[in-house]
Amino acid sequence: MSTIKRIFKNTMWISNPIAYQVLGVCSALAVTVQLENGLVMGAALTIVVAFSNLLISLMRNFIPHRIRIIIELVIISALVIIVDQFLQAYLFDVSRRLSVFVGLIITNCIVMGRAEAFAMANGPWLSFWDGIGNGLGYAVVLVLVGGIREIFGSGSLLGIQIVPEFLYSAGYVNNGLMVLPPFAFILLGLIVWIAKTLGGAHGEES
Amino acid sequence: MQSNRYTIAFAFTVCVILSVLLSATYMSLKDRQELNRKLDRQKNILIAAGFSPENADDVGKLFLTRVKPMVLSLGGNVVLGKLPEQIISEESQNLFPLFRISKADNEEETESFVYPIEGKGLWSTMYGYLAVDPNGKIVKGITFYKQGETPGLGGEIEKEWFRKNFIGKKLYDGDKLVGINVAKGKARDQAAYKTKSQHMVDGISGATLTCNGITKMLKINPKKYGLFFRQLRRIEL
Repeated sequence: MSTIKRIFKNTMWISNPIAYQVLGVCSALAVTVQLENGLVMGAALTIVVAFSNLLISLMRNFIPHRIRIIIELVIISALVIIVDQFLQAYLFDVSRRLSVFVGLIITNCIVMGRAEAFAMANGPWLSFWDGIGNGLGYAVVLVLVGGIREIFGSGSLLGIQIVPEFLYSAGYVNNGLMVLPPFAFILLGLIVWIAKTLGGAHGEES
Repeated sequence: MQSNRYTIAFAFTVCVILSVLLSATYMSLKDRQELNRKLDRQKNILIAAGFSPENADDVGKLFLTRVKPMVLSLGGNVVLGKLPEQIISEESQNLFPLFRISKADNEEETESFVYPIEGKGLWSTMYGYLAVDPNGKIVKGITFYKQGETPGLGGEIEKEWFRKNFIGKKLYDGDKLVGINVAKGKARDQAAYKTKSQHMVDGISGATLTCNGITKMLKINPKKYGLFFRQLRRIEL
């Protein structure tokens, strides 16, 4: 159990895939206009990394070395397509909004990175939890960025209005910059900065 | 280092297993996805016509009470006993779906007509619906329900700020079909704006090719329904 705990501490805080490893930034910037998109994207990626890690780890002693990257990619792609199919069946609107980004999980460096760096060298049980941890580490950042951008950019959270109407009548306006990708970039920078100052993301304490 | 035979056999096995898995997933979710897509199309027809359905029940109810689906022949006549979803792809060259939206208080009176539009953008074929007034001349709304344009640039065509510019614009100049020109940049900065403002909307910067596609789409698609509307206007005279 303590190993799994350590994995989680590592992926969520010390070596967070976005904040420290700087992987998967592209989708993190693109889909985080609303919190819901961030949540679904985070969940989708967590499922894909966890199961790709599990499968690849199970097969690691049989995969021919020369074609291992291709095999990893085939497995990842298959998982992504399955997740995409489920989204189209059960969360149609969100899947429309995420458009190409679900498909692009295939090229998300976190998935490939964990398969190569962890699953090829560790047992299935640990690899699975490493996948969950990295997926959640990614999701946490997406949820943070998505939440902040939705509150200040659209005045709502999960589609529910939270900035009260009287503020708008008093002259408050939603910040248009929040909705645009550049602000996600700035926000991400701030999050990395804060995390490092607090000792995470390989900051001062570690 | 493994032998070539092992490598090939391994790759082959992995591919077979995964393709079986993928087909199984697809087959088991197909019905549900098809239902979602159908609902989405109905929702877009309603949105084009100016409704704002909140959920799936709303869509179903509104569609049943206010929308009358029908099919037109090449000559612009209504084909009796045929529904839009029954058109098979070989017939789609000669048969055109049309949706009549009735007024809230009188089912016989027409509030607007909605028909599907499609055309090539930069990367993809864009599919949508166009709502027009009962004469078929003035745009009452437009939606896009399927497109693969660049998110954030061409993909913006789905957004309300872009779509609402079309409302009230004229497809016809007198009896001549001119379509609607999606300008490069702001419509009012164009030289032709003075005389053609009724046939022009603002474009999306960074998405000129997508916008050109829409301009083309709004010239080609209304043509298919021209005969129908001409006959309709003649009857009313």
